[in-house]
Amino acid sequence: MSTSSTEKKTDRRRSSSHITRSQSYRADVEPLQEAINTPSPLGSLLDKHHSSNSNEDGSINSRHRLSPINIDNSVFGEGSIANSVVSTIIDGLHHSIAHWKVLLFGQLISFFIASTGAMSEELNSTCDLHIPLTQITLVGIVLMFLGAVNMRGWCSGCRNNRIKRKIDISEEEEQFDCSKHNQSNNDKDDLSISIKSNIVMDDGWNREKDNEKYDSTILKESRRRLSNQPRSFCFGLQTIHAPSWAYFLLALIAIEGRFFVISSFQYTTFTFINLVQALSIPSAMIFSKCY
Amino acid sequence: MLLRRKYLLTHVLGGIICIIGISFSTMSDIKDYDIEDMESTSDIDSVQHIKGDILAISGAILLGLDDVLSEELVKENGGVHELLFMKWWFGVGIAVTQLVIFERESFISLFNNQEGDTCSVSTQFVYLGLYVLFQVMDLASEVKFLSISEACLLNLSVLSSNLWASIFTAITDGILPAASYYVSLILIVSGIVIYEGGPSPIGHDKPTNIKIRKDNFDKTEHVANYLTSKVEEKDIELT
Repeated sequence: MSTSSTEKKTDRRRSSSHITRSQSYRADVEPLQEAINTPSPLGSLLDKHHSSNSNEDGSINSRHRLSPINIDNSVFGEGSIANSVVSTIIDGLHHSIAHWKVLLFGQLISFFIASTGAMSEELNSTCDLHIPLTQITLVGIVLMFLGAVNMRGWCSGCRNNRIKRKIDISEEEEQFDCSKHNQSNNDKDDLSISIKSNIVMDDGWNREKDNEKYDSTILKESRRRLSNQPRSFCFGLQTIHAPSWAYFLLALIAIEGRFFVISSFQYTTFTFINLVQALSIPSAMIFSKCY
Repeated sequence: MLLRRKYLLTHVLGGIICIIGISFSTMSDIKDYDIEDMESTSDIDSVQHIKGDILAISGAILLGLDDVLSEELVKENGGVHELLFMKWWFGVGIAVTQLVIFERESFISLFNNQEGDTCSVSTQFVYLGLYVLFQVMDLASEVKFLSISEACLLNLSVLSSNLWASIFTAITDGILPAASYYVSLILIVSGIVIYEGGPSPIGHDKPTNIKIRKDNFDKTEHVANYLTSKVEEKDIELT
């Protein structure tokens, strides 16, 4: 009797200790989760400003959506151009303050560019040395080594990845047989699941349009992700996530772009070149827009 | 391959104001030094001049495309380090090929100090080393910038490099910037503010949730997954 009572007590203690331990773990995790979800003081202040005019239904989307800040209509008049201009400027100021780190980072890059220009100017004018391609080559070598040092999985990459992918694919196929459509991390299987899910969901409901939309989105996403498949580079020396020709094309564009600009100094004025450099903005906008 | 961004009137307006700002700064510099430059290039015939213009325009367009493609590859494919390695792996190959064809003699002169040269070999190497250091920091930072933001904002931010150059001149030569410098500065800053006034082309739904990607992984997602898995593990262990 006494032994059974002691056992019960120990069980209770164990269970209570389990509870307290699990609670303590949860207590450890909760502050972290809160910390992740909580924006910075300035950010939360801005979010409040942005959400003040949106719906107050309490949903996350409505609270976090950016909305234009209302300007006093008695001053500018409702829907006037002045109203929209001022609200755009105020929105821009708010966004600029919220993105101050990104903008400051941009200024740091500008500082590096100006320093690079100053050193190049010293080489060209003071030392009378014109070696743009040598400069690009040296910079390229350092950047290549910088990237190589920080890349992981040298020499081991491709073989291991191939084996891992085979295992992943077989596991996913097994899961599909059991009709468990868990979201897969494997890109190929995402595609197969999305195709097969169409058959499973087609159970007489009038959902064909929804299914088509759903599947087309998933197929598009899967196709996009398929291009991220690990690829062997340089006979398995490294694993890359884009075709080699894409990187070659990028390198060609980067080198030729710089070479064209440097070469143009021989034929045209510095003013024109400096002005034309601003063309990279509309160029970036147009290329970013088209798909 | 390319991105599918939505630019509104505010973005275009911001870009135009920035371009006006940099044009203002450049035009105001003509008085100081560009007349000599124009005189020196006046002996170049018009065909060569057009060739130079076409080269400059093509270069600027290609550099814009370079930023967009880099953004696509860094965000959707390999990440910062893979991009740096692969881009410059091929880049070095292309540059060395061109160096051998176009710049062999200049490259050899780098190591030979002839009479009448204003710089010694060591001075040349110091300047070259500093150039490489700043350029490496610039290009590595640009890739990092593209991984957290977008190509157009990068190009807008980079416009202010001329203004930094004016500050350098003021410090080293003691020449204070002209009034046009401040007008240009105000225009560029206004352009960036107006550009920021529109919704972000990369779809930030609030100012604080800029996702920072590291090596093709979403950090926020990664932390969230880690925490979730940790909670589940503890539950399985203890209950």
